[in-house]
Amino acid sequence: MNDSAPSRSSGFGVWLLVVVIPLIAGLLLSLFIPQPVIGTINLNDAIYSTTASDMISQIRYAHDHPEIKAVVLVLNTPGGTVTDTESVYMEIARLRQVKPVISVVEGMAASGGYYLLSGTDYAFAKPSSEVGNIGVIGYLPPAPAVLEEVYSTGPYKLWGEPRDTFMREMEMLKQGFYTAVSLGRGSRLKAPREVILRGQIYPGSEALRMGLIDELGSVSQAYDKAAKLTHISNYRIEDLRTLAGVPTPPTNPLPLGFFRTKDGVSTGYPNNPGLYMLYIPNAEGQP
Amino acid sequence: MKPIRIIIAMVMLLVPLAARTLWFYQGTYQRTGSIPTPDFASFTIPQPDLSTPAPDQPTNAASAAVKPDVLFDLSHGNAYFLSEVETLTKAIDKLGAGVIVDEDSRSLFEHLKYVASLVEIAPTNPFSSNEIREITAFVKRGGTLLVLTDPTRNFGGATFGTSSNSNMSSTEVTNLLLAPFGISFNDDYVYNLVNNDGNFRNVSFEQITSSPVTENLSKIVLYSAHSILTKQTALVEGDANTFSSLTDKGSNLVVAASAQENKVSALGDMTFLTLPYNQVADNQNLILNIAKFLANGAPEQTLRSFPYLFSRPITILTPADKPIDPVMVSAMSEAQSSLEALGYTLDFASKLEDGHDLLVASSLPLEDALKPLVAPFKLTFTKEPAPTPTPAAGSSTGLPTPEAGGFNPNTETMINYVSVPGLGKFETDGLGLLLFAPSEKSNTLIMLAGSVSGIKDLAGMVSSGSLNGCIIQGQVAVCKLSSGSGGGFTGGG
Repeated sequence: MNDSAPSRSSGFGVWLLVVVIPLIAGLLLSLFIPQPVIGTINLNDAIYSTTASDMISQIRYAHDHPEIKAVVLVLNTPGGTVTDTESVYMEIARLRQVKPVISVVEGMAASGGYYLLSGTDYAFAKPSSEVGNIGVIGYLPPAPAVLEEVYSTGPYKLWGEPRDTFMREMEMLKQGFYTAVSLGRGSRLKAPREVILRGQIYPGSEALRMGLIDELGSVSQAYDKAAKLTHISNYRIEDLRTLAGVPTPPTNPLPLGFFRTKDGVSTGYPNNPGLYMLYIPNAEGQP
Repeated sequence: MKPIRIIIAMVMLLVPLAARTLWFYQGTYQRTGSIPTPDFASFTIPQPDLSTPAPDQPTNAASAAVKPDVLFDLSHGNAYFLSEVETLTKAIDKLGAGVIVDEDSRSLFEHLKYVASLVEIAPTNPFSSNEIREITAFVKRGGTLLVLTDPTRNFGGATFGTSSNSNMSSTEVTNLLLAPFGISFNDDYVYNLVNNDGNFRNVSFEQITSSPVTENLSKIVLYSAHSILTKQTALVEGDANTFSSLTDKGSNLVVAASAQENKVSALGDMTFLTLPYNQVADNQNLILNIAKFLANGAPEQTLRSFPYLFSRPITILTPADKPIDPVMVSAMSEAQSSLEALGYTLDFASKLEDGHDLLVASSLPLEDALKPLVAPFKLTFTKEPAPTPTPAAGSSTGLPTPEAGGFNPNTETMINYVSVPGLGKFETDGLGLLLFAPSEKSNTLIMLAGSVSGIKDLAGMVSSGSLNGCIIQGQVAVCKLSSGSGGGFTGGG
């Protein structure tokens, strides 16, 4: 019995040392293994300087944080300015070098919105979502003129470029847009070029048949797809706007931003001349 | 510590780590290949296929001393500014023709009496049936009609400073105008995603049928154009990739057509006339062709064009060997000032000069010197006794009364008559005759009246510009004049 008491206490010590402590240590250490996160970026607005800047902040955050394994881009946008659309598109391409980006269309991914969608790894839409409208629109700048009170050093210093050049520039941008779609969708794109470039907008079910999207589905399915692509499970979903500290956007419904005159009057179309990858249903008073 | 215990400890340490790892991660994400993005630097702004500027054309003003005029209508809510089509108006001017603008539809009839051509660009106010009839008649007697529409100018004449008082589109308005010629515009625009000039709606056309408007053209570009339905001559057609916006289909869509032996040309675009689009492909030559087409309009001259009956300087024939009545001087003066106000140059001479038109005025009876000029009209001048009086109804005596007319006193009175083929026999007293003989070398207008004062009345018609009160048959007008005792139609003929 005397031998057994030290032996029992020795056995308990060994048990503690060999099993319990390492297990507790392992459990504690395992907490340092981060739960995978699928980040969500919501775009529920047109694409213009503010929204593009917000999106880019979120994309950069996702890029720089390893726990974020994939990003789901939830789109409800008619598109927007060309430059802002291209900016976001390029940031998405950079992010995709390291993490998959899945897009899902809620109400609409038109024009510039579709430009972004085409640059993602996989695209979902609802059967009735509006998808497509590939192309560029432009509101011509004023015709060059000479003003009595304003002097400039060249004929286009005030006006930027000839109106005709402005029109032709759209064609160049259209080439970029189509190429982005063509490269992004690759062999999944079934509609021929001349059909794509008609600029038509399609319901999700038709967009699927044309190869403009990959699947009809919801945001949940988009998360599942993102998890599958990245081989993760038991993931956490986070709004990247919150993680990146991007201020919550105002709750104004569309139209927002540049769809507003200086007097604060909302318009259904951009109130400044310019080039847009934007879907604008024809509206009363539209120039 | 025994090695086995160390191993167990390590396992115990790693199990939670492995479990958590496997709980979350079943593999790793590996991107294969790079993300393809467009080579944005490789995209360039498509440049227009600029044409060689058309050479300056020598004017042909020498071919006609009075230049032909081209009428640009701005009276039907036309959705354009004249300044926008300066490329065309300048080309017309270089050809020695004049440009006239009609801003009041009431004067359209007056202008059509003398212009060579009518240009209708994007009218948005409907033409009256009278206007359509007059324009159709104008074309049928040799005037040329150019009709341009434009999908970007289908409405909104008011935007262009012209009043628009209808809700009709330009295509609807022009289709009514062109219906007599078998041409109609579709309310669409054509587009081509393959063969275009910088934009799908700027369509290049290379299927061109030769005509006065399209000669020497191999490629033109139209900037938003309506397609045309016609069984007449299709001048410009699109290729297999040119579609109509109405159907998103199309094959050989027509965008320019002609009718009435090329006297009517219709084109579904007007933007090609504006800078800088006039400089693309063969558009400059197209504009020059259109200018020639318009300047060469040559409506047949008839008395209905009165008083615009002359194409050259006018010689007013004066008798060399007899005194001129002072009333005749007054009549000639009125005719001179009226014709000069219309832009004609005049002189007086006793015989016709080469390259001049002739104006002759004479009272009846006809002088021998004028008989050769009047002979082609086959007029017959007679002098007959006044009609025998007949009893007036209700007269108790059965004798004629002066009020009943045909009263003949005791002495027999002779009355002068003129018989006009196809019209009848007229008493010359109080009667005026206008006889018009156009020819390639010289136009001749003969004014005859029963008295010198009647000549003055005829000269007054020149200043009023109207043949109201006249019967017109071919190139002869028989007019009731205010001077003289009466004159009247006696029937027959």
